[in-house]
Amino acid sequence: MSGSQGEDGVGGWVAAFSGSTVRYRRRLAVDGVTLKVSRGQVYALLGRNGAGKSSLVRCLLGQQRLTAGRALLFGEDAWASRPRAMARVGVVPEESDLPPDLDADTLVAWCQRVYPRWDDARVRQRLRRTGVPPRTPVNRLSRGQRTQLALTLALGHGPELLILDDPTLGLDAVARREVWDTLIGELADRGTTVFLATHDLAGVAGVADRVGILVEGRLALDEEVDALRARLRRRAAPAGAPWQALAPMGILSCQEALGGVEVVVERFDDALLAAVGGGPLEVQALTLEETFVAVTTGQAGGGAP
Amino acid sequence: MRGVGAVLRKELSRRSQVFLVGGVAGVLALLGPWVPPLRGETANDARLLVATALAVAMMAGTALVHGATSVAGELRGRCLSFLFSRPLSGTAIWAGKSLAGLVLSLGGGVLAMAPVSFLAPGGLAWVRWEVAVWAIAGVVAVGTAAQLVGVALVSRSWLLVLDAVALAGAVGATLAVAASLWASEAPVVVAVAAVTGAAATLVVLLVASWAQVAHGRCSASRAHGAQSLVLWAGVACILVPLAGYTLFLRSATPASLRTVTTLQPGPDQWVVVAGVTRGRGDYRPAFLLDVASGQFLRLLPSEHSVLDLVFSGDGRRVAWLAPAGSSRQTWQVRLALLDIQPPEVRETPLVFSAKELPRRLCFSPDGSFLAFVEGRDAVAYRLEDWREVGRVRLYTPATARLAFSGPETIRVEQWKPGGGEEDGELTIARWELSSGRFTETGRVAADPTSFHLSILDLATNRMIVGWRTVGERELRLCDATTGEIRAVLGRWPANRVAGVLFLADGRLVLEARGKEGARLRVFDPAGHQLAELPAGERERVIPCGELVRGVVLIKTVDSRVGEGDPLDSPSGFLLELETGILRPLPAGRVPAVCGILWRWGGDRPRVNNLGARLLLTPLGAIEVLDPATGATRPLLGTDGQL
Repeated sequence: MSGSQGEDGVGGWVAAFSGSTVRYRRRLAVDGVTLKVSRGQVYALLGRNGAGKSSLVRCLLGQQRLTAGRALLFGEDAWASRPRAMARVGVVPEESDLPPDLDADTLVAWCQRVYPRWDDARVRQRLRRTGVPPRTPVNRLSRGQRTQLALTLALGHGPELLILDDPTLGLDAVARREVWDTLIGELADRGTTVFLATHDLAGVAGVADRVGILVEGRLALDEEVDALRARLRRRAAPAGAPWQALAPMGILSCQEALGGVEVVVERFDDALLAAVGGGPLEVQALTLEETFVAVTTGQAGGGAP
Repeated sequence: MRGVGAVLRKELSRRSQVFLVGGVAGVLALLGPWVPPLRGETANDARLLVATALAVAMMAGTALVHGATSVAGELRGRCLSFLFSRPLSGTAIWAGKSLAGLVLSLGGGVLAMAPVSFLAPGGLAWVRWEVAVWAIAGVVAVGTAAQLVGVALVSRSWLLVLDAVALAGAVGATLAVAASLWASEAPVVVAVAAVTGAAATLVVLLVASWAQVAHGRCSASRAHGAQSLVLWAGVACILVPLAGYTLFLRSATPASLRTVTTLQPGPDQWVVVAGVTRGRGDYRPAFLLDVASGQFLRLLPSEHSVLDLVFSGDGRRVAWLAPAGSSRQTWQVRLALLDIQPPEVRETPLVFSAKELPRRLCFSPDGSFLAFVEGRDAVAYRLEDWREVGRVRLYTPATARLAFSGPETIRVEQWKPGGGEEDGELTIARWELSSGRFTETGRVAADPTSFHLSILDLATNRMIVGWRTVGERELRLCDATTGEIRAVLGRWPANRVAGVLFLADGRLVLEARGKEGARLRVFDPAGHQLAELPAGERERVIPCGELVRGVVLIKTVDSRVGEGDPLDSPSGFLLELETGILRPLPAGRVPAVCGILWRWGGDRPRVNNLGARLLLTPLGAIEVLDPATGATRPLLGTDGQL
């Protein structure tokens, strides 16, 4: 993978990993991950706890060094070019890293001095909208308010890339909804590229363009969401039906359901379905959560480069 | 710079209450006069003392707390990523945090001092650049060290064990180097090493803290690794050259001497010598050197550590006084003894406090006994078993002079004050160690304003005593046992007579200065003048020793301006007394035992002994003069051609 500026632009990618490996002494946390995040894309990196998502995010932010491979931001090494790259990136970490004894007003004023392009009016408007009190120290804000404040600060300078590490972790349903609404609003307004590591499959399902699924440090799947939906299907068949005829589509699972069987295939093909005799009403796309379960339990994959 | 300013502003925002505490401390300092332990002080002094104490406590405490928490606390609370996810370089984050610690600490201290400084008379006396330098250095050192320790503890890494081992090694090596340097008694070298070492350590601490932040970023273990690598490599880079220099310093040999500053010849081929060596600053090692073979013993850490030194008459022993550490109350001195053949320094049990420092060391002729003045007493020891064999009370210990006139007999000469303010007499006594009998054998009536040359020639039992009359001085040749006057050698205006030398055949030579220059007068053993020799008619003509019978080494000095001839540099000559012929020594050479090299006192060299044959070159080197041929041989100095 080249790190030239030519690949960083419209139609190019803004973030990428190439053969990225992270090792903590004897434990291999990330194993040779290669992926790219294209400009304007919302990339959701999914994985179970300890799969290596946060390690990859920290490496992309230049806060941690890869054991092997490369992490690139805007075509440059993320570790070496961190200060320059951070001017174009907004970050929401997994756990709030906001100074606990400072309030929102102070933090906004501080960020205004740090970022040359800072939209103060928009930031204050967003804070009002999300109900973050301006004069309350961070350590006295609710978890949801802290996340909203972090997200607002991350968006204040109009970043080209937004990197979020499980932003809805530990939030209640309402707070989660607010976070996704803010994110969707930002995407609608500016078309910001997003690299998102999360557990919140329901929330991300509505915004992600592409997903990557990490299983024990390895990228088991990396695919456009639409393609994934088209590829992974579930077919309900009456009892005694010859479901084995679907084998050419790659049967992932087959289990008894009410009055029949339910078969999941990983390379769905309309023509092949017609050939074995089936109607479209009997076929359903998998949800992202179902896909995630299928992949992480080792039943599907093959989308990773 | 914008990044540094941003981080600084954030840190100050978080800890601005330090300024409030400093202000409160400043107001509290005004209550100084009511602090019970300070009731004896003036109100002004009490306020200043309290303000200073509070300011120092503020600065040290703030530096410690800020240093320990500014990085470590944020690493533990996972807050450091807030800064690292902004467009701020690691260097800017480090600099901003470090600067904040400095501003907070100094600001708190200044605020604690401010009210008293402005209200008390002379309260601004502490506003000096030296205070600022020390305060900044102290705050940076404390804050940075606390920052390193804080991160090391937060990381909980196995590197802590390595740190502990490295710290122990560094402390041990530092103590060893410091002790060795301290023992060299070279204050300039010690000061330069201390300042350089401290400044370098401060730089290493700063670089380590920079590496911790800039390379460790948001990982405590990575930060710990970076700081440990820089810190211990840096400490090694300081300690290894320092240790190497200390070894170099202490490895000086007589061949390293560039300029000889002290020279004490024994009766034969041994000489105690000290001087300046190349690249060793003011360290002045001292050696016992065999002039014949070049064999030497590193005798003393430094010439500065020798308070008094004396050879025994047979040349077998050397005794000296050297510092022996200090107790809580007083400084202590140990008497050291060296047997020359084979060279071995013997530990002696004699340790004295500064109040009772021994003076006037003298050996018995065979080196078996040692006597000296201690406090108000004269005391004698048998060196075989260090038994005190005698002790007598003196009238005036400061004027007393001891000399062995026999194997176990000491001649004691001292001033005995009379009843009136200006009365008194010089008393001479014989002290027999075997019986302990102390017998007064003679006295010389004099008033206390008489000066006492006390040039003693025990071989012929004569002494010279100087009397002062109005505007003049008179030299008298006296019997060394009874004090009886044998002859009046002459009268000269005050300060115009000096430099007396007894010759081997009983004659004596003295220097007498007049308006036209100094001359040497030669007297027979009875005190009759035999000759007056112009000896170059310089301002001073000093008889320094008798090279061979009838040939005197002299040194001439003249500060007057001559015609085309620079007279001010000292010159050395050989003077044949019978003919008056003056032969100059090789270019610029002067007798070494006259003048500044003669540090520890003692008698002038006897005829044809080593001391009479040592010459000092203009560059500070020492040469040995061959009495037979007049040729010289380099011995020491000027790059140590031994």
